[in-house]
Amino acid sequence: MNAPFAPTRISPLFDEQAPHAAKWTQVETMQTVASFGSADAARLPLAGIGDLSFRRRAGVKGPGAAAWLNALGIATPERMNSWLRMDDGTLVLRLGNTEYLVEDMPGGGRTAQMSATAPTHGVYPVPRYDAALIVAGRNALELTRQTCAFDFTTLSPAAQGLAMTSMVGVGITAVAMESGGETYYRLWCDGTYGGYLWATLVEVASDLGGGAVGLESLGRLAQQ
Amino acid sequence: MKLMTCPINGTRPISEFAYWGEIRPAPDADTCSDDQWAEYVFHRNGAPGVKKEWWCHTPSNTWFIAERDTEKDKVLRTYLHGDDK
Amino acid sequence: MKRLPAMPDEWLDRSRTVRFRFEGRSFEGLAGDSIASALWAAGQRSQGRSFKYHRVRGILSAANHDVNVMMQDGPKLNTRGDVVAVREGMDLTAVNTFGGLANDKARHLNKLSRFLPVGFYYKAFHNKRLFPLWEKMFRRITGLGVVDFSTPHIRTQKRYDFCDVLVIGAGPSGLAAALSAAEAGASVVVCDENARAGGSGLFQLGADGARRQHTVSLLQQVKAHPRIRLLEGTYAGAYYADRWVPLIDENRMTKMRAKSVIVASGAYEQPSVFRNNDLPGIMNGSAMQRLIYRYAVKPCNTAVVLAANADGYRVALDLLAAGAAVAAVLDMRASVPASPLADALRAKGVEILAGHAVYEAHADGKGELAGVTACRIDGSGRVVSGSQRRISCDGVAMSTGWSPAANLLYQAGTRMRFDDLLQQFVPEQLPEGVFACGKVNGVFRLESRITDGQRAGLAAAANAGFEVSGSITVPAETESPSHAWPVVAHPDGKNFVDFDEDLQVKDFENAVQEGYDNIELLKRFSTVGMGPSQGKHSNMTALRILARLTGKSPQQVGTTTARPFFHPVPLSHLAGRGFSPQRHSPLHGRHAALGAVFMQAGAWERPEYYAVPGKSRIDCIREEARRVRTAVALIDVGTLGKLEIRGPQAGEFLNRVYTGRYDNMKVGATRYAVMCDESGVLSDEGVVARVADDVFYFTTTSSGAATVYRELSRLNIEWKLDCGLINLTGSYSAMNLAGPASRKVLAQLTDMDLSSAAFPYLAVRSGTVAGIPARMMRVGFVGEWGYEIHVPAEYGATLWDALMKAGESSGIGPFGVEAQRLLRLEKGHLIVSQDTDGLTNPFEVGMDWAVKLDKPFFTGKRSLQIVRKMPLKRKLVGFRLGENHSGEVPKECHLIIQDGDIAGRVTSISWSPHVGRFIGLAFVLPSMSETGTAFQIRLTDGSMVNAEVCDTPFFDPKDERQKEIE
Repeated sequence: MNAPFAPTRISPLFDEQAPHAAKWTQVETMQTVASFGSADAARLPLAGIGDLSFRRRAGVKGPGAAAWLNALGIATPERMNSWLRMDDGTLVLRLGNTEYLVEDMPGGGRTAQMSATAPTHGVYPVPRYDAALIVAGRNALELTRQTCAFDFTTLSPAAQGLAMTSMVGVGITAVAMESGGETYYRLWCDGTYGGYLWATLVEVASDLGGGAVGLESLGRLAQQ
Repeated sequence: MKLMTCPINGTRPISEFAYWGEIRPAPDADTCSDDQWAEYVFHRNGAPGVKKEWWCHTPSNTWFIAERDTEKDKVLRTYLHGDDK
Repeated sequence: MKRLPAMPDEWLDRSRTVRFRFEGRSFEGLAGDSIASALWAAGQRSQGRSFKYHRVRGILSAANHDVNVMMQDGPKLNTRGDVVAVREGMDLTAVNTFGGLANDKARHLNKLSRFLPVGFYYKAFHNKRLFPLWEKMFRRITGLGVVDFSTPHIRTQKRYDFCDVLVIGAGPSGLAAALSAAEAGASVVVCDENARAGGSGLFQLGADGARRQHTVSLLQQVKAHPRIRLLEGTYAGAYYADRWVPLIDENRMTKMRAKSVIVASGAYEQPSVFRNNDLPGIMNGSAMQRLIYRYAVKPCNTAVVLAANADGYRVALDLLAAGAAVAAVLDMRASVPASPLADALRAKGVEILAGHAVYEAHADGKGELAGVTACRIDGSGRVVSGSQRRISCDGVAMSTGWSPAANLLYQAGTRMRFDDLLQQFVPEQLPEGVFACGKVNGVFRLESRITDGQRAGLAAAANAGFEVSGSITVPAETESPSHAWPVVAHPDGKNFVDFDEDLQVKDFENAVQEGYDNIELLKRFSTVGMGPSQGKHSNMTALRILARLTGKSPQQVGTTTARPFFHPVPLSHLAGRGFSPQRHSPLHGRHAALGAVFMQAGAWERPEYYAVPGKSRIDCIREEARRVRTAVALIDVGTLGKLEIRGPQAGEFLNRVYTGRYDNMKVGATRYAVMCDESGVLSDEGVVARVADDVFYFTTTSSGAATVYRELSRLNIEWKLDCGLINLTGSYSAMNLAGPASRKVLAQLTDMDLSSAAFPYLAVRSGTVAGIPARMMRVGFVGEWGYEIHVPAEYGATLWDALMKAGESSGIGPFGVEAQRLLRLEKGHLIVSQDTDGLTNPFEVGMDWAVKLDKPFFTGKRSLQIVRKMPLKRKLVGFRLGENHSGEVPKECHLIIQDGDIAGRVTSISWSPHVGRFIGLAFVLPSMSETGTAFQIRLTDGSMVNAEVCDTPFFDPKDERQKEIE
């Protein structure tokens, strides 16, 4: 049994998306929906729900976590509950005080480096299986108003703050980012709740003139 | 809905929190009498007043202490364990 | 037709006619009309029948402060005709009539009113035998509409919203408050229940065009201000903790969180009390002004104005300007204060009579107002006999007093005090973040209301963190807006206080006489304020009457509790869109594809069993179990809580939270773990695996995962041990490959040494399975050779597929929760919270061996030391039913009865194909716990089933199945 093969990563949203997917693609050995249909492009400017679950992520926490990451060349945000993007596009979220979530761009190797490096004293690796969603469009804020008691206008792309809160009954981490002058949101939640969160947000988005958007129609949003 | 302020995550509706209970000093489990131990385990102070309580902000699993006036239904302050200088 | 020429602030669109039906007849109104105003304009003054006596009713408040004109609009109930806009095609009927409004058969109840005094139903229907008869009658004759059970379920887009300052009410003071707050930098939301903002600033005019300018200007500025959102047709439903206010509009509910809340909700005009004050044509003065200025409807041809304040005088001037005649102004005050308003009326030839009131009103043949009898009253409000004088009129404007619309202030916890000059309750102590201005704050002069609004707006902005400067004082009121006793006694009664409930003055006298002399008791006995308008037009008057009857001051009498909602909120708005979080294992799709029948286990959906066409549920479950025992099968156990603890003191930590010892485990071993709470009660259980010196991987029950992780996190904050806790429940997938062929199947997918020497029973090993990094444990829950395999969740389905493929030739199949429960029962394994309850300690379930009382500390230790000294009250034992048991089978929680007393209960029970009998676990008295003891289980119908205690495990008691098969 020596055949080395990269086993397929299955997205936490696969079961929920499969009945609606029109076209698939594979990124980072994970099947991702390239398109839900011809309506994708029109949905995004109003209320588009996109999926970036395929990106590789790794978490770490503990009193020694920041130093350990820095020693690997991974920058860590200075303020609690904030995020930064490294030059190579790697996203680093500081969750609260001593926990970090690192997300690679496709092809990036930071998370692999983390997994390959033994943790030292006070460093606790946190394996992750996130559903990673995008909520974009001019009705994105209204969508958050209908699903979450947290005021998303307090998250600004410039301030690079982060909020851990509850949306439709599920714990999420949320940030605001900017593309083409418009604010959009990125959300992460435990993958076992991912299908439910995805389906619920898509339903609310369709009330607002939008809905699910495949990778092909995400444009710049999938590149940052 | 009541608001509660997590020292790390800020002010949120109370639905984002779990209440553990009042922080009560425990007698020395090795030396106290059975009665003293039972009193600690089973009895709770129901009188109104300012109580120190453990609360948890569940989306972030942040535990902290709230000082709450149960008569006035007001949270006086919240802080991380060890920060109550 | 009673339509007036265009009014400057009218709500009408005169270019659009609206056709509708009322009580089977066609009517025409204008877009913007309310149902009541359109009917009134068409001459239809009788618009409803009262609740108890079925008296004809017309417009009273025109403000949704009463339900005289409550209608049914097709399937839509609770249609308040005096505020709901008329729509093309509406088909309306009055509620609470038998045979229609005009010929209501129940109108004769009015004549029987002598036999229907206050609270009569508490006394009349006590006979138990007859009650079903009365109940049938009640269901026929009471009720305010007929429910259409085919009404579609509607859900609305409930939402949240945020602002710095929320202003409730867009009258002059509310608009001024909003502007002040916005100018200070605050983001402001102003809401008003009316279709258009402006409040009484646009109808309490006294025919003075300049007067409305104040409000018009404020409104223009508010609409133009970038920081103000004006929400018309939106009411504040309630006040909830920390300034959380639901805003209700026609389409949905918005849960608004504000930093400051300003209540500028105004006041409810209270109808004056005199005989027949409910005839159509008699209404509040402000109702007449609403008709004139909002709907351009002339309220009547000839009016008598009953006044006790400046407002009444303005009503008289408004009526004259609308082309009505004012036969007289009856002022209940002993003397009329000098004012330009009185002068203007006298100049127009209107007779003003001080110290006068309406003694009674008279109806015409249709039951509508035809005239009144006026009278003189003395200083205490008593009628001066012989002073009666008849006046013909078809309208009476009642303008004798107000009650503050303070519902939300009360809900916020405001302390109110009764002001003797104003004759109303005013805020004395407002809670933090809550402000009041305008009439609800006891300020009635128009200019003062605006100033009061500015004051409140600045204070609210300051509270929200904005810098404000300067201070504003509001001049005190000099004239009372409310009469202390707007009640005229009459021997024949029918002088109504609460129009919703048909309560007259003598009802209060009777109630007090019966001993219900406290405001709370009076309310419940008389039902005052319990009708659909919830006391808006009646509570203050009722309070005055109770005060006089008991010799107390209104302050002493107090008010009842105002509760949400301010107006009824449709269920569609409250339901919103329901959110019920659903948790799915990464293998969910695989289960669905294999025909799983799912069950809810907390937030998780799990396969109960896998359906096979043509097979019953129970047969499917038994077949799944059989496959585990004879071949190989696979179950998803991914819902288990999975935690990891790392660090030099990880073992010490586990020692403290579990009853057993873990710091002495060898790397590569697993050990069963039992958790107790501080009182020694079993709270959770699982398996601890030591995967490295300083790394332990342990499981919890599915339902306990979140709480255990949370509590252990808290404990380490207290203990500060050198270790860290990680929750892997959602990021790891786990499945159990079980059965005699399990090793053969697994060997196809891994290079690991699976011999029992290298991988013994209860060991944990790490390796690669199907190319996926995996942690595996040989566990004994179902009693067969098997492997619990844990992998990162993103590879779960890939692993499942690989195992199912590799197992094909061995006859592999999936098995679900029910099959697993049967298999574990055959091994006598308990399930926490199925076979244990909120009081079970480890000693009761034979877990003495798991409790290491020689450890220095663990949660529950002291309690268990105390409990161990006490005799056991019960024991969990295995049992089986008779060999050829036939008939009904006991269920979980059926009781065990001995000597006519409860001796225990069944906790688990199932048919075991491998044992060939029904087996189970049960709590019994310790005296009954010996193997072989016979006992009886009581079924629901009282019959008894025989059982006997037996040893566990029922199947493979020596765990031979875990030994190497040679």
